[in-house]
Amino acid sequence: MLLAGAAAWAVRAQPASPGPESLAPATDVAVSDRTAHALGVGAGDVIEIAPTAAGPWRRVRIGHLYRPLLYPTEVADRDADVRLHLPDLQALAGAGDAVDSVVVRLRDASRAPHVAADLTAMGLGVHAYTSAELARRNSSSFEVVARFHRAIGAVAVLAGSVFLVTIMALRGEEMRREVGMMRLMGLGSRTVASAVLLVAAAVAVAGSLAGAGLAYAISFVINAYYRHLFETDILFSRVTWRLVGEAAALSVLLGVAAGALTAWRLLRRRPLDQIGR
Amino acid sequence: MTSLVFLAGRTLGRNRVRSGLVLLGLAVTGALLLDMTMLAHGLETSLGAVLSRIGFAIRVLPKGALPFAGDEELAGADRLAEAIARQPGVAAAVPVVATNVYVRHGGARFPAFVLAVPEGGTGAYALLEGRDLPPGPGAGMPAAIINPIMAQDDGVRVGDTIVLSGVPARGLAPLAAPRAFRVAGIADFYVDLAGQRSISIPTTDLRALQGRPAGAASMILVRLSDPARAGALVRWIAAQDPRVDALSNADFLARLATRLTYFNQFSLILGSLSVAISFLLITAIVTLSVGERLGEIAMLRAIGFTRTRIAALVVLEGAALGAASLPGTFLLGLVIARYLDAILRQAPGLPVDLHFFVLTPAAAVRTVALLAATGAAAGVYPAAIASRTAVAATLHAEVQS
Repeated sequence: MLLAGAAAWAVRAQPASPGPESLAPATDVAVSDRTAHALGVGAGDVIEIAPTAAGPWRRVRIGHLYRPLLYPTEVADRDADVRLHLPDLQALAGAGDAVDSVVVRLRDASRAPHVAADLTAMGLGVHAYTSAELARRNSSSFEVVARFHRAIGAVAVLAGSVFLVTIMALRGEEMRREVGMMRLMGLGSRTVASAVLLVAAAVAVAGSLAGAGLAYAISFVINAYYRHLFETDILFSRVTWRLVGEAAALSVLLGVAAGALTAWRLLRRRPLDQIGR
Repeated sequence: MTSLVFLAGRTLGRNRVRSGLVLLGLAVTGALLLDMTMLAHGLETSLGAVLSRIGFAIRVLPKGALPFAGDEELAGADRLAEAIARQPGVAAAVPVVATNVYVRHGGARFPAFVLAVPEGGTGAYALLEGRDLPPGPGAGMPAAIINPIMAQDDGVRVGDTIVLSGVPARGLAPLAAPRAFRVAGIADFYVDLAGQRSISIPTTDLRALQGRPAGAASMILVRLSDPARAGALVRWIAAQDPRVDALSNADFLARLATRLTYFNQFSLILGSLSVAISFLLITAIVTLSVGERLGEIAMLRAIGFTRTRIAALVVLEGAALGAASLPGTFLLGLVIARYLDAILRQAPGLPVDLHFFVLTPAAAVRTVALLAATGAAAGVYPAAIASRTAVAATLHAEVQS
């Protein structure tokens, strides 16, 4: 299969009175739904395309509309998406039989590395890649973005941890009199510490549940907004059960640690001091 | 006002552990906010600085294109450049061709970016060592300028001979009519990608090497002697040739901004979350503080503080917390920004001089204003509680307890 692409062609809806450059629409093309929406056209309509904004313009008929499967990086930088049969594009571009790439389907996919090596070694001036190699080469941007997201996540965890410790410190101060009374009534340090830890864990669990709910809501809004904005089916934000589980586990862990710190601070003081005597 | 500032300061200093924890939390969320404001326009700011350094005020490109982003060419660019050069306020109009070639040096063969210019002294690169390209075609081997990466990584020196070809394979090289060039100098090409080898050669030699049509170019770089003429010249070029876009540096950055929506949206979402967390943190701490000080607040009301002054005192406490977190915010924010910038700069296809996180006065002012406003807004709810305190009942309860 031969593939050719043109990055900066111009596309416009057909003018009311066709100019002298226009030709009869003999070519059927496929147009993305987003492009069709932007141009205000639909299947069966005639549009004009040109290699440059100055022409020469060629009239083509929209055979059908489609929704392209784009990379997330592509959704924001495409004004228009049009697909033509290869000979039509080559004829319109005046590019002879030039193509950008040749896609090869093998009967035995396990032989891909050998075939790629053989094609490269033929000395035709081409380099052949297996699908896995191409995926690796093309995914480096996504790996960088994933690393960036993980780093931002770490900062968010740090902010959340400090927030949790602060809230628990405040809660501990609120419990000061209560704890003083409990100790004066004869409850042991271990019981008091357990109570504080239980409160901390409960706060963390409640916070995790609320956070998961908030995450689903925000994720829903983000997906709804950006899918509408870019007219795409791409999922921009996804909250998985695993993610929720990891976040909740981390939250409870941090909550218990914050509770332990609070309990230590509470038990350090004398009971009479705690009730203000 | 002085008394309000004094009271707010005393209140925050009363419980140092609590205030310290809140300031730490605010520093982390504030740092995230600072980073997001830096990220929002970081690339544009960084690229703007590079463009200013290059010195060309206008770029003329095929319509809809970005510099060096594709193979589109402007037919008849030489003629258009001559016409532009004749306009008032124009110091130079330089048509350049950008493409990729293969270089052979010794036994090594590697791809390189080539920037073809009409002659030396155009300013499309900054010469670091050796001599520039000659002003016109001369006898003997044509000259080439290389970038420092090629000198360091491939051991190419001034005076060496390199062979340029349009094809990568040794077997096909004779068909592509490779040409030998003598390295005349080493130059900074301003926007080299990480690890990118760059060469500059005369346009006539590149056209001969690749069989390109005469007169075509990738873009025209325009240097102005009168920067105030930029707008008028852009309009003149647009009217002159409908195939092209004439972009001033600001236009270019605006066009690039449409491709950077990911970072803008990301920074908007995360910046908003940072503000929300800061708001919650300050609201929680100030509300608790007010709850503990109802007796004191009732006392202040009893000795003549109006409800408005009490509310102002509490709002001031919130704003003071936001303001007090600023040193930590900036310190932590700059450290985190440096780390995050290093991660993002590992992305392929990025010029080495570009940064994602750039601290500008606007970003700093925006962060300070947002934190102060968040602090003040977070103080509104506890201020409402404090101002509604019933004086007699609260004082009575205090005495009873």
